[in-house]
Amino acid sequence: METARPDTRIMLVGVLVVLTLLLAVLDLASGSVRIPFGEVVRALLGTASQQEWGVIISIFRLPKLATAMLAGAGLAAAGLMLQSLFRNPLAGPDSLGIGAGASIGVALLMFAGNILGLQKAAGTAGSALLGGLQPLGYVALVLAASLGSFAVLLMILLLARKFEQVVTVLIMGLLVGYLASSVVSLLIYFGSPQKAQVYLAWTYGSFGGVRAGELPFLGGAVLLGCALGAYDRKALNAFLLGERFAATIGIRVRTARTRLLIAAALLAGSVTAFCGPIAFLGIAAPQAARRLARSSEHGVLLPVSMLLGMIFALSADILSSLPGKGAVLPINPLLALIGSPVILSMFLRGAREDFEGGA
Amino acid sequence: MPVLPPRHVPGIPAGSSSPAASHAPLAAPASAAAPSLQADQLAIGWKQGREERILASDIRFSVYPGHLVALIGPNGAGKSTLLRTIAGLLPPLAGSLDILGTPLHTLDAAERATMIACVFNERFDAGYFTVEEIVAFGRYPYTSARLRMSDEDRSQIRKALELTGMAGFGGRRYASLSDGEKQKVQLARAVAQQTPILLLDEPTAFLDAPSRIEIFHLAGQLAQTEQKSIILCTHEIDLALKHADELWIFDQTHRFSAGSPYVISRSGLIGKAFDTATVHFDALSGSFRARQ
Repeated sequence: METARPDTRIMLVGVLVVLTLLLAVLDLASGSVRIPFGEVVRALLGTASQQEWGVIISIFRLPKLATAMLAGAGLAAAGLMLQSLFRNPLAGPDSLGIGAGASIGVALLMFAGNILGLQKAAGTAGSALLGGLQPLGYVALVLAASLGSFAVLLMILLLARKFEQVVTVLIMGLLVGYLASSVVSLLIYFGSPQKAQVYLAWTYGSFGGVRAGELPFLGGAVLLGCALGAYDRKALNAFLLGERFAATIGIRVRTARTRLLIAAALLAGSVTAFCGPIAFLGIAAPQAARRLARSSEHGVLLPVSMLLGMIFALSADILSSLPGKGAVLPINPLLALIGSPVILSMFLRGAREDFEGGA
Repeated sequence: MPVLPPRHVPGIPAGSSSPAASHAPLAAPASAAAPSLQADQLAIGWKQGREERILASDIRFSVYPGHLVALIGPNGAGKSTLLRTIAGLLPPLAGSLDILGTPLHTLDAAERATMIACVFNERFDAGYFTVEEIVAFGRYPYTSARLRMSDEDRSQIRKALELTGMAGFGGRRYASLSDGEKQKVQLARAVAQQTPILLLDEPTAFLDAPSRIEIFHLAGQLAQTEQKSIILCTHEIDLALKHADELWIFDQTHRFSAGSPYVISRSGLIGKAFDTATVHFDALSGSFRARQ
């Protein structure tokens, strides 16, 4: 079977870009207050016929849109890097324990906060997730999640230096993940029901919590992470054929591996901190990208994965506000609900093609 | 046509009665060509933390351009360890190992990749990579991080595919090829790397009989026409005796010897390395026989 030629790949990227832009406009139009398409465009130009529409779009929906796109692209890029680095299609931000590290940070802040004298901050963090934002509480939440994932990353980097085999690092990541979730379970078990409720709300995931002032931090982290991945795409290609192979064609294996792990942790850690543990995107988007682009070349896979990540995130965000009247569905279950069947059908069709085409 | 060093050189130095006792560099052709690879009192093995585990020591050899060297020996005797040491994946534990006159361990990964190309017999999931994309890996040491292939890169890829008889396969998916074709594409990738030295780790391991002969023939051809030094580690002793210019052998006690196939096969070294209670190497026919 012939693989897609370069021009069809460019066409695929073009189609995905158009689809992303369409979904972006749809995302701006959808929400508890319905705003017509034309008005969305006029609001963006600053000429909305109703002033409150302009306010809703610039204060709430534009940051939410940017967050969804950054989170989608960032998690997809992180997932792709980890899957190629570990030569394992099931690897993702979660399998490194990075998400678990962020969860531990947040859980510690919420449940053990009173011991550390941070109860007030934790309390406001909870209310932040449920609607009314308090700056300090929110900052504490992001800080806790970032510190948690960074702590796990440091552990994994130290382990990665000690062990030659990359699979060992993957197993360590999984163990750290289990460790983290058991600590979280214990904290929930001994914590008050209200706090458990607040923690649960964070785990549902949300793109709505980031405000315009915080966007540069998320944007900077995602941009830096993706740039590191794009810089190392030679190494990513070579890692697919094995680390020993990579070493013999001139890749500095340990340096590249360390750089990619830092990039993945930066992406997964920052997105988890701001939006909650959205694991599905990181695993699903790269899978879908490989199937769609019919390529293993990271110069193609990275942009396609990022675009698909944005498309998944935007679709979930649009669906989450469908009930209207201020009710919002949680992002995490929605993503898996719409994403899993899509990926599954791709695999089934791919398997049939591979079988019939003798690929 | 460049002047080749003599292809079969007498292996046993004068005055040495027992071939097994001799592990001095045996092949020293009277030629102006400088050796591309040279080892003296080399010790190989692993380093775990501060602990060194030496597997074999006192290894001496010189490899010249245009020569095909076959490395044989029972499993665990040191073949792969030696190959990985030459590839720069394991550090030399003692002695010297020079490539084109430079100590190998002073080169970094990028420099090494322009001097030594390796084909390991590891199997991997090639995903959607095409044959051309796999061969393009050979150009990685020469391309920037952005992976822009120059005209030179493209013509080297085409030439490598032609040399290995895989022209016309460029657009095929690597995963759809037979094991023999995959091995030839790997050879093409190593050729595209344009290195004076080529290391092949059991290149015939998964192949059927015709493909095995084809790979040996191809390796011999590449050594001659491209003036490469090829070191090929293998279990195919009959093919190695037929095709190689020089034989390196590890016996069960990890002792290293080098010499021409003719000398090695008649020296009793092969029998010493491989013979078991039920099988022995017949030096006259150059093949293994069951003991009566």
